[in-house]
Amino acid sequence: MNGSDELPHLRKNPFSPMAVALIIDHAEDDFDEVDVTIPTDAARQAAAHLDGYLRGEPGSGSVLAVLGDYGTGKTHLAVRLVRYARKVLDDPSRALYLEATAESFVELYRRFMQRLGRDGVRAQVSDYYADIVAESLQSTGLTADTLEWLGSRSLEPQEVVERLGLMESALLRTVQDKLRQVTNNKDFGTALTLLLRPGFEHAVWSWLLGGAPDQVLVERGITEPIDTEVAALEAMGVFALLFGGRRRRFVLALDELDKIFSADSRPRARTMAAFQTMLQVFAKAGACLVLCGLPEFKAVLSPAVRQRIPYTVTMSGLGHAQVRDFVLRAQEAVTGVAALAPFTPETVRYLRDVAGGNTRNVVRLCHRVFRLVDDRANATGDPDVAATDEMVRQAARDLFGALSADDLDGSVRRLLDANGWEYRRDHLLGPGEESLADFWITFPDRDGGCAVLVTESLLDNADVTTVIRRVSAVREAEADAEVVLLVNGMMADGVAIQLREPLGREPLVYSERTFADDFKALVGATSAMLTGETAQDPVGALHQRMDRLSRQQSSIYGFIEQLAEHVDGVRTSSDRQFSAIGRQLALLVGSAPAREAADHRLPGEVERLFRGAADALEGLVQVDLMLSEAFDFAPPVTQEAVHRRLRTPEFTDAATKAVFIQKAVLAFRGAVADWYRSEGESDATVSAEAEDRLEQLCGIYDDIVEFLPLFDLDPLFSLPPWSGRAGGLVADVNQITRRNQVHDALRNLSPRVRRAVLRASHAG
Amino acid sequence: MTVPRRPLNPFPLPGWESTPMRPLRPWERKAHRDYYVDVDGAESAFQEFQQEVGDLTGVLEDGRLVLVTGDSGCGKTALINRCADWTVLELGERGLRGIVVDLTGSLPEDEELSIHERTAQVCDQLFDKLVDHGAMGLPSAEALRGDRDNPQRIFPRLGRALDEDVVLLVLLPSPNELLDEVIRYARQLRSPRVLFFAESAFFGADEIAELVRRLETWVPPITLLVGKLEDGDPERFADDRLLRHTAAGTYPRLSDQAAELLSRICQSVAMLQRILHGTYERKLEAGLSYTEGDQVTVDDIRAYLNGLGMQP
Repeated sequence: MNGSDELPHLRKNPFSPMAVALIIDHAEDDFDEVDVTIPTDAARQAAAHLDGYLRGEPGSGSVLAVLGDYGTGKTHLAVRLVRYARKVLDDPSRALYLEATAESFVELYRRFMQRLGRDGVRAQVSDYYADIVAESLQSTGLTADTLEWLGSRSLEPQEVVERLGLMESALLRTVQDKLRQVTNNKDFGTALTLLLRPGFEHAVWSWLLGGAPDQVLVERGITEPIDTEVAALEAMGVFALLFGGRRRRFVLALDELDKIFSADSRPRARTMAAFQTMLQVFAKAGACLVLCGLPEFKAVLSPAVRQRIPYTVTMSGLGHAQVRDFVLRAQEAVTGVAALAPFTPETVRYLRDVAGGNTRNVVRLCHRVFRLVDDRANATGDPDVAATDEMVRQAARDLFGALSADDLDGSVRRLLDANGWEYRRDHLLGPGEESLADFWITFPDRDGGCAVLVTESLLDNADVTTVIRRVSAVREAEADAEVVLLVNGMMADGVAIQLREPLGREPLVYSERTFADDFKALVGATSAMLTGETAQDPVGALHQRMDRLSRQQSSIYGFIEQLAEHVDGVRTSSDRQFSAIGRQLALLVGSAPAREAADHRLPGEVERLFRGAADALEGLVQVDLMLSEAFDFAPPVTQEAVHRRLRTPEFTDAATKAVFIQKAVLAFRGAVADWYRSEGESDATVSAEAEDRLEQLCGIYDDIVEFLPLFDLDPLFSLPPWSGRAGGLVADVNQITRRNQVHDALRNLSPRVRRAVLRASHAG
Repeated sequence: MTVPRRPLNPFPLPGWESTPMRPLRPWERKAHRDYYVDVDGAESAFQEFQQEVGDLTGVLEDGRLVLVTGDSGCGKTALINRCADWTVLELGERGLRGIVVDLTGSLPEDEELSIHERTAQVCDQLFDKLVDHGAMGLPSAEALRGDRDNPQRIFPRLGRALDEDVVLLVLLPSPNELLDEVIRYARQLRSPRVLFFAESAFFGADEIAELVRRLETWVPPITLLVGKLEDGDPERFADDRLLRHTAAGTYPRLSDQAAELLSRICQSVAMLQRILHGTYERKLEAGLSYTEGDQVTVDDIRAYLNGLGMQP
């Protein structure tokens, strides 16, 4: 009997584990066939708006904002809008999607330029040259064929100039004047024209990418680099003018703008003014700008900027009928039959409520529930197992377990310490277990206190009942208690309303991004609601204030001391660290996947994705490093640390899975490299067959990692990385960051790889 | 018995049949001296040069820079070559040896260099050429060798290093839009008995005015301008070439309409040469209607422009 006979058969899961459902409905689109679309009002509005722009009179620009919370499908809407524009415009270079990956426009601009590509920019400039050459020939009335060849770019303008002996210098001067006029910028007019002359390409391109101007450019009057927010925004406007000029259309979708425009990193007035100018320039250029981000992004903009965004669509959650429609379409896309089973109408409704209509969560839940149904069917031998509410709950707990209890506990404690609040941990307020407050915070001159109750996901009535019992017990024990309910997980739709009355406020669902601010605000608000002495003794108040400040200060000192210890530790062990780095490098160079990787270089962005994923896992597990250090005659304390880790089943289980994922990533990389080899690195566009094969490789990877879910790696985050195990609090603080890094590097890896490969191929 | 005249294309220069677009180069090929036709205002520019240089005293005492400007294809290189040739002849009459060093192709085409790097490369290559031409004695060459790529050390010392009877005519690579480079040669790198020639299609009247202003307290440059074809230029050029080769071979005449068309569409002498040569070549290769009794017509020119010569 071979191995495969022993394993149960698994059906193809119609739902993407990466939750890449696309939510746009366009009757005649024939986009990526694997995309399952769910019609939503916001998507329809956005599509109609874009359609109006694309089919309207060229020359009038447009700005559209797409706002929505995480997982509501902004990115997919933006991507689809761009694809649609490319199809209508019949030119991929005229519609671009770009996501802000850092908090700066400089970085966004660099990515914008890389996306436009050196050849793309040169082709654009060359179009202007071709226009001017054609114009100069037109007056002769002689060269109809030549004009046609020029128009279709069968002949480069330089060739025509050369073959006819045209006056090149005069023509280039006209191009430069034209480009200066179009871009309204002397430096860009000069630099772009230089692209038409031999020998300048490298200098011009590196300047366009933000580098310091080369001496050959300085000698031609270009002295300033494009390295400030204002310069970067101006440059983006210049390229909108360049690409949108000649009465052509240009669509640019900027995603995740909340990374730049957030309340935490509010841009300076000059940047805001430059952003405003860029919007005006886009409009003037006849280009269409699609700005996507969290709802807060638009609120951060100045009123003058907001005024220049005439259209806004807000992504909303999916309704029951839309989720049902999605399930039907997704299954139809895989099986050919639009069936709801194994889901039932009831589980679909419940699943939608648990996901709160959030598109990404709906898809992820569908994926997980489908797998649970399959597992059950294999276990029981009953092929007709149907999805149940319990499965939905289990899936939700698996997927959205947010933080470990210890992580959350640490986060809350750090916030309370940092704010100087007095609190007790696990404080029993009354006689019964149910009156236990996870945190009991008291405030000077206030009666009672604030009870923080922590709960896991609230998905059904039983969960709600349990919580209400706890709230009542706290209130009975301490009449003056304010209660803050902290949900470490998900909360089904409707639960918040049920709890609003008993709590006096809505529960706080943990979200890494906003937790610190929300929690602080909520606890601050409860203190204000507690009754206290009205006529406060000023000296007493001052004393209390001093006490609180002192607590805050000691919390900061404590942190600094630990940080200092950590730094000392790093310094004293620097020699060991260097030797460890050396060993790590040797391992990397000697390993088979690394050799394979060196065999064939992938395009930059693709390589970065794979390397990012592999590095994130290596940084997380560090098994090679740990074992190598142990065999390096390490002192007993190190040997014990190794034993301690290996004795912990949670660690070994999670590490095994991490290693499997790492191997899968490297194998996936190898397969993509083979795909490139078979493509022969030709500059030609990727054929449909090649794209299919790439798609299949992505599918294979997805099917493999489906059995290695990222939440299984959670135990690894609670341990400090091997190389930083002496770090104590510092490592502890980094847990969430580390998890985010690993998740960011691995989540949606295959679609990102696929996009990057195709993008690189199109650019080639 | 006379040798029968064969059909030929009258537009290439003698010996340069396969490179019809090369500018005249009389300092190298004496036969070219007769091929100059007064087009693009080149004749008056040449006369201006003769007048400015005068008896060559300025060149001998301080050195000089000649800058020829005008758009691509207007005959800048041919004018410089003519000026250089004339200067060599004039020097010869005074018992001096004019050595023309052509460094126009001394810079890489695929990579643009800074002014500093450009002048260093020119200087480095100049040194070899001076040695090759025997322009200076061995001691002088050895004294300069260590600084051969240092223009600041080489150029200003050339006056003393060159043999006493030698005057150097350096044809520089085009500075294109680099006014600072021109000024550098004229001010910092000048030397007695060294005449620099530079050409640029990128300088307009404003740049020339700035150049003159920045050099007004130094030895002023000689600036010459060649322009677009003027009325009568195309006919004069075509007639010259068509009459010149009647003894050497047979070829059709140019019809009046064709000449009129060329006057209308050709902006520069290079374009005129390109179209005339191409049209005649195409007709010659076709092997039909290529006798003295035939004519090159508007249709022939159209056929060349839209035909084989331009197919992608």
